[in-house]
Amino acid sequence: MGRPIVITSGKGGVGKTTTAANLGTALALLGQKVVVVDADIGLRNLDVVMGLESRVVFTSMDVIEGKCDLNKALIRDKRAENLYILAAAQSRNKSDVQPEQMARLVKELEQQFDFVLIDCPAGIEQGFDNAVAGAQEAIVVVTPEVSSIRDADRVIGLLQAKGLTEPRYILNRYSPRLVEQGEMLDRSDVQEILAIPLLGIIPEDQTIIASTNRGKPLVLEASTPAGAAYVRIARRLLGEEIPIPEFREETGWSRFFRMLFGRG
Amino acid sequence: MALNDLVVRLLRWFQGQEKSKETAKNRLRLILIQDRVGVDPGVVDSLREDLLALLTKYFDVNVEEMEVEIQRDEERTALVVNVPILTLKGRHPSDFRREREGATASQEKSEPSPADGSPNKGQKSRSEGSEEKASESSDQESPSATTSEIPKAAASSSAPRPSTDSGASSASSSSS
Repeated sequence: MGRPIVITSGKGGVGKTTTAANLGTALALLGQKVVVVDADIGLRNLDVVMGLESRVVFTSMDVIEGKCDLNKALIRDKRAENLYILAAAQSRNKSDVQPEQMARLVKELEQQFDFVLIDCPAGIEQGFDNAVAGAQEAIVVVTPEVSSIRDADRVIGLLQAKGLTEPRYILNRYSPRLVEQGEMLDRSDVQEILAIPLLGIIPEDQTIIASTNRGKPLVLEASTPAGAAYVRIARRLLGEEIPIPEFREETGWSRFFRMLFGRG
Repeated sequence: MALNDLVVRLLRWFQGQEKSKETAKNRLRLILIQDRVGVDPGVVDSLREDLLALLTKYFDVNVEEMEVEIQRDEERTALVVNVPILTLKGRHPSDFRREREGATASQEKSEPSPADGSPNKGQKSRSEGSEEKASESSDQESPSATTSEIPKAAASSSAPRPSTDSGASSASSSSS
């Protein structure tokens, strides 16, 4: 039986889809059989982020409505062994699917895969209910910003109310430089507020944009700080104990000035 | 990079500005305190109904002007209930006790309590008849049928009883 994990955040644009794509790819590269399910019906993006948009023929909606077989709708990502995605219908609405249908679909996927990663849409309405329906674990993606943390806090409450009592979070777009300047909430600030286990930190990494442009998840590229961080998170999901490194970006000069002006 | 840092630090130093991180943290703290006590409006509605059911056992209350709300400020959150009372319904502690012990409604009616009698004595208002009837019939009356007229009679009749629609009587409880 596989592990169905929903990747959610409440707020949009914090990196849910990028996280789902990279974690899925990283887990597959680590030898797991993985399917990443796009639960964002009407606004699908996972296929684009993973560069598989030209191969979408059938969607989860077709499976749910019995128009095609599940295995026919699964799109295989040839860049990693045992990596698949299931696209969402683009011309439909979130209300066209019921949580029970989604739960049944995820149950079916669990039989075939080690990991079923569910990329949740933004918001806390029906799309959220659908995405969460079949999940047994939850990962909340948070950026160190007031709005994102506020939404994450709300989502954590909702997840717990739905029986996902042990959600973990990924702190995304963490900028060591801004943290050092005192212009970004640091990891301990966020931890203090959210008070759930931290699964990992993804440092701010400009190469993410290029990887999305190319439709090639970062973990497939040569090692970048963010890519390496995703691989560490994938390993933690597999039960390995890998400490979260201190992300530091301190040149000799900045240390000098920090010491000079004290308040760093 | 180092130069940027220097400029940022210098600017902040000269302006005596708090780091934005601290501002963010403080704002978040307040926002989350409020969010976390956020109550589903449905909860307040059903609380209102339950309160009403309870209160109408003891008082004739102005249903339309009853307020039940959660009020928040930076320091605390309070449940504020404001219930204008029209008349005491002729109930007396001994009545409740008897009722609990299983006395019938007719028995209660036949023994007018002090609170029951008072509205009849000092009646000064213009439209006496109907209102007297309403308060006399005490617990058997239809609770909110005459709400629009009763306040005046009640106000004029018994001095110690806070009443009328100006929200004279209120109960509040708070928790932080």
